[in-house]
Amino acid sequence: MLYDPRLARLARIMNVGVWVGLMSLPLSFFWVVFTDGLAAAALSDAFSEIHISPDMPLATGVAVLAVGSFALIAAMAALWHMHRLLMCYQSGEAISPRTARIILRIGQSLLVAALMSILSVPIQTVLLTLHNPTGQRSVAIGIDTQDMGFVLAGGLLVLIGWVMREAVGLAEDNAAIV
Amino acid sequence: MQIVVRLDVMLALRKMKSKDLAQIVGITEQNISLLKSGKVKGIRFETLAKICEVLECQPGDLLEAVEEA
Repeated sequence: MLYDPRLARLARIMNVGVWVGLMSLPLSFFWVVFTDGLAAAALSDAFSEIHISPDMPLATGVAVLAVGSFALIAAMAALWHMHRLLMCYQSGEAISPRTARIILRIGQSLLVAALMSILSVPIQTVLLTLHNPTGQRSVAIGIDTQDMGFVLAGGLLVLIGWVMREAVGLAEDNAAIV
Repeated sequence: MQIVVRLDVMLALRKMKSKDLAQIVGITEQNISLLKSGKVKGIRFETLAKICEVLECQPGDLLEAVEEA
């Protein structure tokens, strides 16, 4: 059980932020779809480093968005697990097998989000330049600081999840000492 | 060799109930019950000292090392 009431209070506040993220991520996704964000002109702005043919079909834009959605889904999974963890902290459950498992899941989700983000760039650029004339097709590979941040944070949380499992074992041993 | 807890014997000798001992010592009745049945992994010195004080006994009256069957 958590003894510090500040922890439950902070968990409650953070949960609000997590819910804002959970709501805003899919909203931004639909915003792109419904504001002509799949058209060649809009995608040219987003992928300024490559040339996109103006004759690019809408289906290609949909495919590009679909590829990009994998990272979004993984990020939303991480946020969902964060919500579950914060709910545990709000109810006073701190060091338990469940919280250890959830921390591990957050880390794994962040790692998957980073991987999907890194992999999506070459796939999207191939799709976007597929309709270009021969010699003007390209593939871009990029890793940005956000991806590195997700990798580091995800890896760290996976480690912390494993350490929490050990802590749970110790806590259970301690509970068996009167 | 295993440690056997003779708390039930001491409680009977002092005519005290587990519930009362738990309340005075400051641990739960469930933990007293687990201690009596030997299903705990250990006992803190602080808890042992309090039990000895309440039951007016020595740790050796409560804990006995016996050969494993």
